[in-house]
Amino acid sequence: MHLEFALEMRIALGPRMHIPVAPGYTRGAVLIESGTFEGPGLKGRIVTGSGGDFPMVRDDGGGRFESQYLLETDDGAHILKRSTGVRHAPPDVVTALLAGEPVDPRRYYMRMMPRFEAPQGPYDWLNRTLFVGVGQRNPDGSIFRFWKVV
Amino acid sequence: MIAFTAPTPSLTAAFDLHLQRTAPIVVGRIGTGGVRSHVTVIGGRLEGRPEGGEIIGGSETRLERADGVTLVEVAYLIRLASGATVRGHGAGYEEAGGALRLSLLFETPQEGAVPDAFGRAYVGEQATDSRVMTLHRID
Repeated sequence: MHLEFALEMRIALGPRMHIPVAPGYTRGAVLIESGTFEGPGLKGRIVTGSGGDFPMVRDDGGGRFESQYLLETDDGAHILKRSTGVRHAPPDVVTALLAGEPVDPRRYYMRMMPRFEAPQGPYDWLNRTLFVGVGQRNPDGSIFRFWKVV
Repeated sequence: MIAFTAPTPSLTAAFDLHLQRTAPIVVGRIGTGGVRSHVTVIGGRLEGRPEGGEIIGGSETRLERADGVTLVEVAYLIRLASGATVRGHGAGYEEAGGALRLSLLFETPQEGAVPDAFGRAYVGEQATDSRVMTLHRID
């Protein structure tokens, strides 16, 4: 079993909203304003307004990710992407991330496991492939890279 | 354009899950498509470092889709050697005649010391002819 590069996503995020669901736990809600993706045999944009990232963040900075949004390939196919993930970071890194400051992504552990629903055709391999992702949070958005588990 | 400088991930074998499963209970063909079945996990053990434990329960819910791929959603309850209980949960795919592969996260209690390893993300793989699922940490 090894990893093979599949695609990169670049996402611009809207303002972050916060839902204090329980003491010490905050649900974030960040809608996706725009984005693109590209990998071998796969290229397109993220459908504006189709979803966002909804992390559950603890007071200690750890968190679990849940996201859902729609992709549109350059040839017009729509693909639903749902993802879960996890982040760990030292407190000073969390403070910098929340303040929108640039942070070296090697200073935090951010891994995602997305699942896709694609129509039958050239992209249906997404429906039966396990993926592993790494995230990089930038002041105005995120970059994700995903690898196939093969 | 901002450069991507995050680390490239790698997989490191970390744990073996020895799962004792019941025979599947077949729900049947469901209205939204596919054949649903359920497998109960009645025991087993987790082996690996930094800490192993005993599997005290769990389930694997399977949906055999029209494209021949089975979507498998799992939850395993594990009592670690230290006495703490953790819940592994995840989902993945099994192609006809192929290995089961899934991604897995753990829920851990806030109280007590649970090794950091259970806060990481994992990829599990179980060969068709094996009862052991190897969990690879995503580094």
